Amino acid sequence: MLANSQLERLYDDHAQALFAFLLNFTRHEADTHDLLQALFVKLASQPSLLAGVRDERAFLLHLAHNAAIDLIRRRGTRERNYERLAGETPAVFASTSDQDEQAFRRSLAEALGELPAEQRAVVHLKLWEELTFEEIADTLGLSPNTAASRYRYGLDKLRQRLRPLYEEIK
Amino acid sequence: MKPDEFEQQLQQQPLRTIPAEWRAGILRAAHTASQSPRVSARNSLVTSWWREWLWPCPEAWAGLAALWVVIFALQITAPASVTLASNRTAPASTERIPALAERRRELANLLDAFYGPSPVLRPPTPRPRSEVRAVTVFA
Repeated sequence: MLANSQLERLYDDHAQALFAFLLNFTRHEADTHDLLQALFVKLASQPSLLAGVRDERAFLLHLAHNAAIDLIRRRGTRERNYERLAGETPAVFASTSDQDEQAFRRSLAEALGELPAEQRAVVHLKLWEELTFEEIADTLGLSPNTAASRYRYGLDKLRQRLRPLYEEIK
Repeated sequence: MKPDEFEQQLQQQPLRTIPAEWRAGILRAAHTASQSPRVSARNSLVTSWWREWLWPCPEAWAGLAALWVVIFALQITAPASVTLASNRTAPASTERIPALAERRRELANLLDAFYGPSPVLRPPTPRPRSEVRAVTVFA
C-alpha cells in the first residue's frame, strides 16, 4: 500500500505533465480526468509498480500512454475515430490576453489535433517534455528511428499549417 | 539535434495547467483504492503466481503447449479409428459368407474330380435288433 504522502508527492511532481500529455493525446478533458484518476488508483493499489523505476516521469508517461491507447481501443467501433474528437480542440495551451499569441495557440492546438495521435504523442514528448528520441522510444514502446521519423512528419505538418501565422507573429 | 526557430517558438507555448480541484478527488479515489488491500492483495497474489509460474519459465509454456497438442491429437484420432475399424469389419463379414460358400463348392468339385463322386447318402439300413437295443440301453 502506497502511503498518502507518497501519493501526494507523486501527484505534485507529475500530475501536471501527465495532464498535459493526456489532454493533448486524447483531446478530451473528461477522459483525461478519468485516465489520470485510474493511473493514481493503480499506483495506490499496486505500489510494487514503482519498485526499481529509475525515471518516474518517463514511467508514468508510459503508463498514461498505455491507458489512453486502451481507452481508445475499448471504444473501438462506438467512437471509432478519436481524431474526430481531436477536431473539437480543447484548450491545450494556457490562455493569454495577447490576441496574436492567443490566435497562434488556438491554431497550434487545432494543428496538433489534425495530426495522427501517435505523431501527436511524439511531438508532445519532444517539444514539451524535452525527451530525447531514445526516451520517447522507451516511453511509447517504439524504436528511436520511428520516434524520430514521427516527430519529423508531425513537425513538418505543423510548420506547413502554421507558417502564415508564425511569420506574422515572428 | 538542435531545435530550429520554429521548434523553439512551439516550445515556448505554455501548456494549460491541471485544474486545481482535481487533486483532492483523484487523491481521495487513490486513497480509497489503497484502503481495500484484500482485493488488491489477492489480485497481486494471483498475478505474481501466474508470472512466477509461467512467464520466466519457458518449460512450463512448452509443457502446456505439448499437453494441448496431445489432447488435440487424441481427440482427432480417437473417433476416426473407431469409424475406420467398423467400416473395415462390416463389409468384410457380409462379403465373406458368399465367398466362403463359393470356395467350399469349388473344393467339393475338386475332390469329386480327384476321388470320384462322393457317395450318395443312403437312408440308414435297419440294424439287427440286438444292436438297436444295446444302443438304446447305453444311451
